Amino acid sequence: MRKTEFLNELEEHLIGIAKDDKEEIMQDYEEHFKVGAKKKRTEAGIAKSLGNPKQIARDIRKELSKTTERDELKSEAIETFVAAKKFTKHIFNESKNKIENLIQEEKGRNRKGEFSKELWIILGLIVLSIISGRGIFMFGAVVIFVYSAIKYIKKEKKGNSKNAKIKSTSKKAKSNRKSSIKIILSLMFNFLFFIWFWISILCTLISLLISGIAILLSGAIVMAYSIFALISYKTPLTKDILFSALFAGAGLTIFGGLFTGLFEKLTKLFFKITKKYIELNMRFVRKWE
Amino acid sequence: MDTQFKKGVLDLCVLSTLRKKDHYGYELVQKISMDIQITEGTLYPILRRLKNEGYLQTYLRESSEGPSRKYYSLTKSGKDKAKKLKTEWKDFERKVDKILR
Repeated sequence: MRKTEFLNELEEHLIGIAKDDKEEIMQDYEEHFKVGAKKKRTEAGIAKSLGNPKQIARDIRKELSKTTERDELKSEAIETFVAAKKFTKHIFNESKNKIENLIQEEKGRNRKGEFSKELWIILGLIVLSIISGRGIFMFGAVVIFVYSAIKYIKKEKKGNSKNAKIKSTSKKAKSNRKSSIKIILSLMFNFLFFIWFWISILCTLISLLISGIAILLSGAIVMAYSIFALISYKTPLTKDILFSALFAGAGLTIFGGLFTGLFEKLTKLFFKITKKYIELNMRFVRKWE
Repeated sequence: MDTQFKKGVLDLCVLSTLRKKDHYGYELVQKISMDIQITEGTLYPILRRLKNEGYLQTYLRESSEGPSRKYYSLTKSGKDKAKKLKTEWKDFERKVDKILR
């Protein structure tokens, strides 16, 4: 073990120690290595004679923190926590590396285009299922979705195995496969569950937009008619009614315009959110590879 | 040597060694771990504790061989504690000897 490895391992396990104690102890060990180096000892030799940093950390905690009978459990807990932290960091870095490698690979291929074609097919099937009222189209959409997700993940895995930097034992490969299945299932349920909310919100927005346009148009028609009637004098209605109709029409038009504008903005926002949601899901799939 | 003996006696060894003269960290650790077989790393926490308890004090001294080193010396209460521990040990030794005979 080298000096920095030893010192880092030691410091990581010094949880629950007062800051000055911790600093001073780390300095002591630093100095020990320095003096040892001056006496021509190797870092590995010094580290070996110092002992196991985890055990030393345990001793330090025993000497310097308020000790109770729960000490053994506490030490176990601390060591487990540090190991878990290291593991998470390791997975995160590995995923980051994999994504970076994939991005470099994909720059040639038009992978994105491929995927969105299938997405359109799925959307088309959903619309068909709504229009026709037949569930079979919905079922088809789900099947295509799962199929494309599996294909996508398989392609990514192929890309990974090409990369020599990534060490994978059979255990990891097995757990990768398990997690891909889990991810596909969760995405499927995600899809089945959220799609209904998404559709109902979409329909509401569409109907609101249509109502807005209808209001706008009716206002415009009233305005137009009253103006025409006032000008031509050939109408069963009296002038005062026509004038109030004119202003009512104007009011309706303005209101309709505002109404439509508002819901147009909301619809745009809705589609932006949908895109982000899909993106997030895709990132989630990649990360857990 | 049994670990229980070692642990009980380390404070005594550290304090007595420092009673004779001041040592710097590395030197002290080497000396003690040579005679009593303990892993060197476990001594620094003991030194830190003894310092927190007021028995030791530290100072930096320039060294010809490189950076300045941290030297450990006994405080007044450290000297008293050293004496006390030595008496307790002698006493203990006598009693155990008696049983072993």
